[in-house]
Amino acid sequence: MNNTTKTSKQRDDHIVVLFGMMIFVLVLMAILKGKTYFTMANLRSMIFQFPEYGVLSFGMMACMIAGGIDLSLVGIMNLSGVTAALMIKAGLPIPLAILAALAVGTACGAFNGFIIGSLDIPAMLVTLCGLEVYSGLVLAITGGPAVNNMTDAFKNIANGFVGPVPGVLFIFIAVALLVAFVMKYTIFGHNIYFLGSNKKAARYSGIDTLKTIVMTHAFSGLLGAISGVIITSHLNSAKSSNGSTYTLLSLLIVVLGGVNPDGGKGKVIGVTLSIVLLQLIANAFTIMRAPDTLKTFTNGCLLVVALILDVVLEKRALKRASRTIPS
Amino acid sequence: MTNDIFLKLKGIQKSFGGVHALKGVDLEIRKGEIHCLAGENGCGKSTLIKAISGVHEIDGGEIEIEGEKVEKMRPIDAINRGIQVIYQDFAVFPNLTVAENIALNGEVKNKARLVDWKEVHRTAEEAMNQVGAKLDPDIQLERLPVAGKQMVAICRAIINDAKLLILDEPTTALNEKEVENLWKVVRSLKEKGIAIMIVNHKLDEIYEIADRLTILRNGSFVSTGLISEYDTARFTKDMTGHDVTSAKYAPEESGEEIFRVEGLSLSGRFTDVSFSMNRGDILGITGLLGSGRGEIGEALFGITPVESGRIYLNGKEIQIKSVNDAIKNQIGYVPEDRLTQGLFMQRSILDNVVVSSIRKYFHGVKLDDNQMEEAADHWIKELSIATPSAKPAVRNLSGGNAQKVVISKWLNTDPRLFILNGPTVGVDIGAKSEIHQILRGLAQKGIGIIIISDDLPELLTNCNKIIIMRDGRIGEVTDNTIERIEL
Repeated sequence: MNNTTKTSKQRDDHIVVLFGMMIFVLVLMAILKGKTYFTMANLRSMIFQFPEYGVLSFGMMACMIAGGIDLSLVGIMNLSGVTAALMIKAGLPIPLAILAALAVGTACGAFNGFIIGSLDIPAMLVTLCGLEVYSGLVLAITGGPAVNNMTDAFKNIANGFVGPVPGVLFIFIAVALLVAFVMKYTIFGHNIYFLGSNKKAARYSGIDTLKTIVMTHAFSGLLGAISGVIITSHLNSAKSSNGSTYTLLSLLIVVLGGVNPDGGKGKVIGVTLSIVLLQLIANAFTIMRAPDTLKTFTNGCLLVVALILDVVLEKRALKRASRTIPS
Repeated sequence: MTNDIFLKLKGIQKSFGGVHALKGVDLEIRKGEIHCLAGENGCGKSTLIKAISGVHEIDGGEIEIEGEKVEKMRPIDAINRGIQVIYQDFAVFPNLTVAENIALNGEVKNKARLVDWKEVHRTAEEAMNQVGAKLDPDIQLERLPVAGKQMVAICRAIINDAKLLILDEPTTALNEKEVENLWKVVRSLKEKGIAIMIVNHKLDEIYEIADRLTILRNGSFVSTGLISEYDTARFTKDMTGHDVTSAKYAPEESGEEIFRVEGLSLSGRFTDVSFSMNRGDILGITGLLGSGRGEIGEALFGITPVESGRIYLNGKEIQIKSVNDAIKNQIGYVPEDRLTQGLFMQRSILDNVVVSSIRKYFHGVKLDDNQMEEAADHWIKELSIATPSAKPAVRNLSGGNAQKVVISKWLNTDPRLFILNGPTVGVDIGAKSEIHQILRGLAQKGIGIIIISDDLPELLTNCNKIIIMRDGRIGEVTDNTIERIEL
């Protein structure tokens, strides 16, 4: 109950808006292409797609709530992916490969965070460099071509089923729950919000800001690595250019999900809804055989609408607050 | 006589949503007078200024400027009629130079496409001469102290042909010398026939500068008159609606030392500072800005730790090298700037209360929401913070209530030593005396209280021992039996 009640009413409004948009898309598709849209096959195809960038977006979310940003996530994702792929190819056991990938991702994130926090360089610059460095490392390791053809067991991580449901959905749900728990019920999570909301006050309140920045980016790196494992398994291939559109996509997702780019605000539930909403829309466009440019345009409009709504809702919430609190 | 009146307000009303911010306010400002507008926070002073400057459209009442009734005042009308407001944040451009800040506005207004730099300098110099400010025109504004920025804002108002200059709490961030200088400037503007309205609630300053005074309370007009018609008792009564007593703090001598420092030094800030305090003491530290008064607080809290010297708390020597060390030793610190250093404005009261003691609420694998809420509710009740619950964001609170939240944050850490830097800056009289009562109570419970302040009456009433800093050294130590402090 913590997060839902303590943040102002405005975020709840935001979630209602996201729900409204989802229902709008679903109703519209029911009218236009009900028969192909609402099928098990289509549902499955959607579920296979969103977890990899969804997990990534949670990393972006954490960094942005802390008042920063993580543009290096895709680089971390591919470096971790290649790490796992090469270890699998070398015949090492899957759990070991995954652990190594996660360690690499976490280390990359921690490195970003350390540079940002200790030298006080803007996260945007550091992580942009990070993106280049980690992507470059992937190229250097692979020498250019993708690492392909992993074992079937590894492929099954992102392509397998649990009953009729793609197994990767459970990975996504587990990650979302983990992130929600961290943000809501741990000191680290609270420190992320405090740091993003006022870094100076955080310091004057005794929060170790450097440690929090390093941990936030390490956490983001860990999530990047998880999505690295998923995408490598999903595509059965690891290379430096996988998911190259995901940087902007994850930015779009978190902002649409109600995360304040200035930091201090945002919730897992909002981001999750935003992930699902964008997947619904993307899929709708595929089914309608609409050109990709139109989808990009729609996403852009959606974000603008969400931002405008936020401002309007915020003003309303402020007015309401000034009515309820005596000065 | 009526010709002397520059601005006349009759029955001004303004409401936001259901809240009546102004319930029929009258105000008369004459040419060449210094008029103080006083009232507690939330009494409608800011709203009134915004109504005069056209930012808020009024719901009822009349505005007359130089005998002429103004319908529908917009900001541009106010400026054209010579009304200039200097807000607390000055609205200046930090990355431009002094000259640019003063004169560029005029260049823009004249629709000049190219900037005539000679002209800019000339205009700026002229304005500074008129005002009597001595500033380097080529220095970047962000490198000036607050007082300098304020002078620049005044210069800018003057070259825009101000006939009424409104200063919104101009002295909050100034030290005594700077205030004196400001008064000099204000008086010279008055000589030139400019009407000046100052929003202020420090009585001693009002006595020094004002010709006339108008007091508001809860959005209503209370009284107006010559400054000579007001004594302290009437002033406080009109401000608060009741009599506020202020007996000097005089604890019983306990003889039990709780805190002592020896030879504290931090190069460039302060040198060889030693003092001690006993159980029950409230220690005041004052001095001019830059004398080291605030720096001692920041050092004892580990923001900028001391380089040498010894610190003893409850008889044990402690090391403070970081904020973490300070918190481990149960030292709390209310920083000078509540908004940027003390509070998370968008976060809830609850979050702000528990931020420094959050470890207490982590059990097993997770934080205990209910316990945190109980703690916040406890302090809301204990310090009577005016809010329906712990959930609203702190930005919705008034200055006094927000400051009580900062105090709660530290009380929730069970401090043994509590340092407050400017604890009642921007806090209205009612809340101010409440905060003082809270601090006295804490001192009685054995918590060491250090108040760092430039509000000398505040120190004289609430501290039983006062240290005056001069140029980074202890200049004088006194008790509170004296009537005046010389800095």
